[in-house]
Amino acid sequence: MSGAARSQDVAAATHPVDEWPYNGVDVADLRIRGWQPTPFREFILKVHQRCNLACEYCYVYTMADQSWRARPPVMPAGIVEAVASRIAEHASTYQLSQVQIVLHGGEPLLAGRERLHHLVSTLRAAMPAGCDVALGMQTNGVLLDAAILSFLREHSIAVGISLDGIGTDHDTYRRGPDGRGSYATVRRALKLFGAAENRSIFAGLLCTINPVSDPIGCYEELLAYRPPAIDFLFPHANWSSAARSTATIRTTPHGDWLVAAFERWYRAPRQETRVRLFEDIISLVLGGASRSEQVGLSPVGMLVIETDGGLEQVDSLKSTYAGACGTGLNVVDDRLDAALDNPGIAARQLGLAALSDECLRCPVHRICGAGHYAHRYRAGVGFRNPSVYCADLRCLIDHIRARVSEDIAQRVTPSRR
Amino acid sequence: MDSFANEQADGAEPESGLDAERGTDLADVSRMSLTDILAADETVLANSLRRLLTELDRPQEIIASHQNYIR
Repeated sequence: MSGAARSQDVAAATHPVDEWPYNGVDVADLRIRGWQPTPFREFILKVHQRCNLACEYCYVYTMADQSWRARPPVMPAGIVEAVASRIAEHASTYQLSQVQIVLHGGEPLLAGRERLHHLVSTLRAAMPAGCDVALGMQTNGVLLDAAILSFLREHSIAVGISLDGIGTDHDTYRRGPDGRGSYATVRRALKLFGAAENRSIFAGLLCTINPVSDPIGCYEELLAYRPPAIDFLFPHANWSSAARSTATIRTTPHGDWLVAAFERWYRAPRQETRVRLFEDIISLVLGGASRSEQVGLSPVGMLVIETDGGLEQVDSLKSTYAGACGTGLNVVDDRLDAALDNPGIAARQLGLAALSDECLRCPVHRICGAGHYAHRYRAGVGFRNPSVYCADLRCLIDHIRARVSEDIAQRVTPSRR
Repeated sequence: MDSFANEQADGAEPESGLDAERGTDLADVSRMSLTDILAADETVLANSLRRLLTELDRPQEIIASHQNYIR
C-alpha cells in the first residue's frame, strides 16, 4: 500500500471521521481538480521526548494527547539517519534551495552534545548540492552554558528561548518538577547572549501570554536581553477545552494585553526588536503575507518528525485530542511527501477553503485567517470554526489596522493628500 | 468540499455594515510614494513597508512556519 493510501487509512482509523477535515477534505479529489500541495520546507525534529521542566500549560505533557509516554526518550541513531536521508530526498524531489530544521522536544538539549553533533553532521552531510540547511533550536534555556553555546556556534544553530516575562510571571507556569521556578536559571543563560560571540546564534525569545501580567513590564523584560526577535503566543485552548471559560470568551483579555504591548513596541522612535505576531499583522494589513501560523492564510509547510520516526502534524494539536497529530506514516518506510495527502496537513494549505462560514462573513478574515489552527477545534465539529480567541484577534487586528492607517495618513506628503 | 478556491469567499454573506471585499481590510498606502518610504526613519512602520517592498521585488511563495521565529 502506498504511503498516501496508508495515510488516508490511518486518518480514517485514528481521527474523528465525522469532524472536519476528516469528513470533508478529499485530497485525491482536490488533486484531480488541479490543487497542488505546497512541499514541506521546515522540519521540526523531536530529538528528545522528555523535559527538565514541568510547565503547567505545556501541550506535550499536560493536555489531551499523551503519546510521549510510548515513544523513545531520544531519537535513535537509525532514525536520525533515516530523517537525514528523507529530508534530502524531499529537497531533491522539489529542488528546494533551503530547508529549515528546528531541533525541538521536550527539551532538545537533554539529548546531549554527542548525539546533537551526530544529528547535525548527518543532516548536513546528506543534503543535496545547492540545498542550504538553516538549523535552529527551541530550548527552555535551563541547560545553556558557555560550553553548550560554543557547541551551538560551531554548528551554526540559532537558538530560541522561552521566557514569559518578569521573574514572578515566568515562574507562575515555567517550573521544574520540584515546583521551583526556572527564571533565575534562564536569566543566567540569557546573559550569555550579551557576549559579542554569541549574538550571531541568538534567534530570539518566545513568550506565552498571561493576560493578568503587565504587558509593558513583560515586553521590557524581554527587550532587556536585546533579542533580535520576540514572538507572543496565545496559550493553547480550544472550544472544547476547560482552559477557556465562558466569561473570557465574551471579553478580550489577551487582545487587550497584546494591544498594550503593541503600542509600547510600535511607538518606539526606532524599532527596538522584531515582534513576529505584530509584524505579520502589519504585513497583512499592508497587503503582504504572514510567515507564521498564528494569523493569515499562508500555506503551512512544516512537518514534525517524532523520536520514533513518526511523521506528524504540528505538535500543538496535541492540545486538542489524543492522536490529533498522527498521519500513520514513518520516516523509515515512507517518503515525506506522502504526508501531503493527509487531510489534516492538506487542510492547512487550503487558504480560504479552510475557514468556516462565520469567518468568511468577517471583514478581517484574510488577515486573521481564523487564528492558530489548534485554537479552532471543537469536539464533534473539528477545525472549521473561528478561533476560540476570535474576539481577542479582532480586537488586536482592528487596533493595528487603525493605528497603521492613521500613521500612513500622517506620513503622506501634503501635496499627495 | 464544494470548492477550494478563493471564490468560496464570494458566496459568503458580509458582516452587516461591512464590506468583505479585499480592499476594505487593508490600510491605504496608495498615496504613499516610494520616496516617502525610502526616506523614512527606522520606525516599525517604515521597516514594515520596506519588508513589503522586498517581498514585491523578490516574489516567492511565503509559507507559514512553526510558531517560533527561527528562520
